[in-house]
Amino acid sequence: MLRKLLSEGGDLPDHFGRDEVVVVLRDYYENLTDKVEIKTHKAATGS
Amino acid sequence: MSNLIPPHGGKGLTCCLLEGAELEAEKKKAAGLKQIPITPRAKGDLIMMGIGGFSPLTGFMTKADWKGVCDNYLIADGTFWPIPVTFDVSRADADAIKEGDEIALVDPQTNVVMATMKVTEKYEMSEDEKKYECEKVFMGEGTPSADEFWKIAKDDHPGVQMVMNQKEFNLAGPVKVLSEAEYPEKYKGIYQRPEESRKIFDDRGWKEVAALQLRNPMHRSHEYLAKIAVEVCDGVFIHSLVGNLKPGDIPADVRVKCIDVLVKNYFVEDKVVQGGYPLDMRYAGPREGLLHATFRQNYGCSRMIIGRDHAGVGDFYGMFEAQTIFDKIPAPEEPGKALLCTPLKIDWTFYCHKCDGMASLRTCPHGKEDRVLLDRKSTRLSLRHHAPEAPLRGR
Ligand SMILES: [Zn+2]
Repeated sequence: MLRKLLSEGGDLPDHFGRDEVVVVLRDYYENLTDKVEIKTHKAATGS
Repeated sequence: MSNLIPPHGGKGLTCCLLEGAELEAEKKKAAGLKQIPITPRAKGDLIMMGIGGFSPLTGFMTKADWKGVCDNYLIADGTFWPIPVTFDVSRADADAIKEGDEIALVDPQTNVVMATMKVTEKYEMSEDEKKYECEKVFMGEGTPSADEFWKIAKDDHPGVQMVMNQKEFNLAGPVKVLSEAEYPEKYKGIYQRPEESRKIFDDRGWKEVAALQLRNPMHRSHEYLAKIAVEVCDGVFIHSLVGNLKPGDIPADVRVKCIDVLVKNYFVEDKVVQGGYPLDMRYAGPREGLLHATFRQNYGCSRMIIGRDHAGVGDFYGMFEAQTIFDKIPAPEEPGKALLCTPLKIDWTFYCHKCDGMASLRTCPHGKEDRVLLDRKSTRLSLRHHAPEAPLRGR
């Protein structure tokens, strides 16, 4: 997954991580019934 | 006998949460008191004062505390504290309350009385004083002059907006906390009181514990930071923000699941403890990093992991300002009054193809073209704020 993301270039997602984590996140996004813009607070950048 | 770092303030864990008969009696009394609605920020502060997370604070700050914290990081009795913890009310409510009164603080979302408070001081906060607080608490290397700061802060800094939108008066005084709200049920197994995390660490025989602050899904850099901590401490406490969320934030239960799979697959499990705390962000950048260390000391952590742009807000702070601020705070000599939790400072981390793994500017000799950055914004900021000390080859 990591290599694939990297090889495709372009913007890397903020939450790029281990395959197992990506699966959890993908599952969450796919099951979102209420589609909202996926991002953290626009001004908050750190941990 | 615990080997852990003592709670901040030298008074043990100061817990304002009532239990048993005392709680029932106070709840009855609260029903007859003037009801004042609270903000999500105050709700989080109250719960932290309830469970000892904000030890030694046992109430909202007086004007002297507020001024001391803004100017010197010290409350009036000389104890270190990095960010004002104040409680605001409207002029109309302030007019109806006099010093000495008891009031009930109510969460307007649930109508639950979160606490009672004995008002010992009522003080007006003028626009100029709010601005003063903002400049002291939120200004950083990104906007070194007040002019530059105010040009963008009013529109772009959520912490500034929060303070400027506070009502006209502040009330100070000790609180009795009546509820931990939804946290114990909703985040069962994750939400802990400091006494609970301390017991877990004690049971494992830990002495040096590092805290990793998380409010986003745990990615490779976080994993790397946590593993560095495990190498130099007895264990790591992965501590997630489970307070108020904004639209688009990834819910805490999903973030917790991400941590679970990471720990299960990539960590020695008994070197990691996962937990959650009931605060929202204050968006105070470096000062928030200090707050993170202060309440982690209460949870039993002797080190606070501070990486790149910790608690960052847009372009307001230098990439490593949350690390250097630890070198600038006062260290009161009286026992208990200084912050004891120290920062575990970690440089800018990334994935490097040539290193074939995670690395930092201190360990990777390769060029920019070999490194995978987590996002473009961080690259831009990093180059701007960090390049002189850490030149990137192949730029
Ligand atoms: Zn490298």
